[in-house]
Amino acid sequence: MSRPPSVEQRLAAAMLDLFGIPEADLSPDAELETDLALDSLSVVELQVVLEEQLGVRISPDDPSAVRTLGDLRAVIEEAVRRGAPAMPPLQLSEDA
Amino acid sequence: MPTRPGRVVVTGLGAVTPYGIGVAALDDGLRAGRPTARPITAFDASDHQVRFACEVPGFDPSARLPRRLARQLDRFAAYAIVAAEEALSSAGLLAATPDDGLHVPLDPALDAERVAVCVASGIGAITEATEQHARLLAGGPSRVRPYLSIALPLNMAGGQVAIRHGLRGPSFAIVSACASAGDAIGAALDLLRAGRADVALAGGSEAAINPLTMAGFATSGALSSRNDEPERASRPFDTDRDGFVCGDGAGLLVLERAEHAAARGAVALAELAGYAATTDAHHVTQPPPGGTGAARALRLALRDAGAAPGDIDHVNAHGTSTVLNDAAEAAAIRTVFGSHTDTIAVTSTKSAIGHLLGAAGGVEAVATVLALRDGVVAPTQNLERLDPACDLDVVTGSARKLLLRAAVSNSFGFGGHNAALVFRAVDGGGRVALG
Repeated sequence: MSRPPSVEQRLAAAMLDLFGIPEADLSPDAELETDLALDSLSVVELQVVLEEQLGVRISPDDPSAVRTLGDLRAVIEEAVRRGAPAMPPLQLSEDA
Repeated sequence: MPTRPGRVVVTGLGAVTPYGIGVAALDDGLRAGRPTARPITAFDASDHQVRFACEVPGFDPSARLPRRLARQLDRFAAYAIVAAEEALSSAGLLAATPDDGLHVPLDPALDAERVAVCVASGIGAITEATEQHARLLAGGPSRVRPYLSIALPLNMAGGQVAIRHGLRGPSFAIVSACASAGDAIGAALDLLRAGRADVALAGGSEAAINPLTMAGFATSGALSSRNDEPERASRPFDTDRDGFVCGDGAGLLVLERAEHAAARGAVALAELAGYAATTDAHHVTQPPPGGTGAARALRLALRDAGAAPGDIDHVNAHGTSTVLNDAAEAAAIRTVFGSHTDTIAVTSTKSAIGHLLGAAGGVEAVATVLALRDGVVAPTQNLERLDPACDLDVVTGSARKLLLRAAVSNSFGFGGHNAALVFRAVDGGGRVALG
């Protein structure tokens, strides 16, 4: 049985899938806005996708403090560690 | 060719249609009379009353556009972005230098503040709306994706096009149902004549092959229900027509003040000589008897173009294949053109690619310009027995080669909207001379 992907792996997969950003560009100190050219909506989009995959709500106490990829990863890992409040699984007939 | 002040020419074309991506695919398909209606693949239509349409084959926004842009778009805007790039490129307006993927700037010699964008849609981001609504119902408000707010608005096809190419003149989306693209092209003509811009990208985009839209059009009785023979379903002016066939895509023109085109040595494909719009104020879906509103639009558009009825050699009809439209449109044409009607080659692009609703007038304007450029009128498919109520010289069978001086493109919409555009041929070579 294979282990579920780590937060880091999920983050890399989502970056590639959503924005076409290759793994090579994903250093922990890459600035989301400047180095990765992600605007605030893109960051929220990323958050919604990862919330769905991980079944947790990602709500940083201070969103403006999330500046780098490393900050984002830490926020997601913290949400996974806390584990709650969980998001109910989304049941759709056709996946949007 | 002498140029009157205020003249406007077409210098670029772009299209995404059921024939595929690009104007060449449209031109080839229309001339060959190849049908495009097929069983629907975009969703499972097995429990639908109408289970076929004219889809754009193999269109994957993520494969054609940077993924971070593709993620922001409903399909209708993606079609517009692809068609816009072809139109601007074919007009020679884009910079030669490679872009960063997200942005494809204009040639730096051009003034981007003098480029307008008038991209219309009749329905807009219906798939974005229905998919995100499903997520709202299934998972609550936090499950609605943030891009809904930028993917949904109807102006976002043109808005995204403007951002991608840095076009900073006036931009807006006109909505008048199935007359939308015709009105957008007319509005662009007005902007250019008024001196508010030198260049305008104008037309329409639509992606309405969606379970909700198809269900609504079907229950309203507007669609053909020939599920057993989709290729024969769109049959404008035929006695056995039973409704329209839904189609997807975008059609855009680059319009340009003739002086501006001449100054940069651009090749004109045709002149956009006139436009008029009228409203029936009669009924939401039915034209008035005799198509009087459409006739008035035709007459006013000819006057706007400084043309006489006898100058028109070709009409690209609205020709939806509904019982009421085709008879009313034929009556309107005969009212305006009188006995000259018998010498006008009429065709309906919708027989080939279905009804693209708010984009129909855009793709049909592209088809009209191609007809004028090459002196070839594409055939109307599936016309086997001409309805006596549609007494027109409709081109059938194969494409007809003939000398075309000027042509009209008609677009009518639910709500009683009528738009008519008049295009004139330019002499061989298409160089715009100032006189």
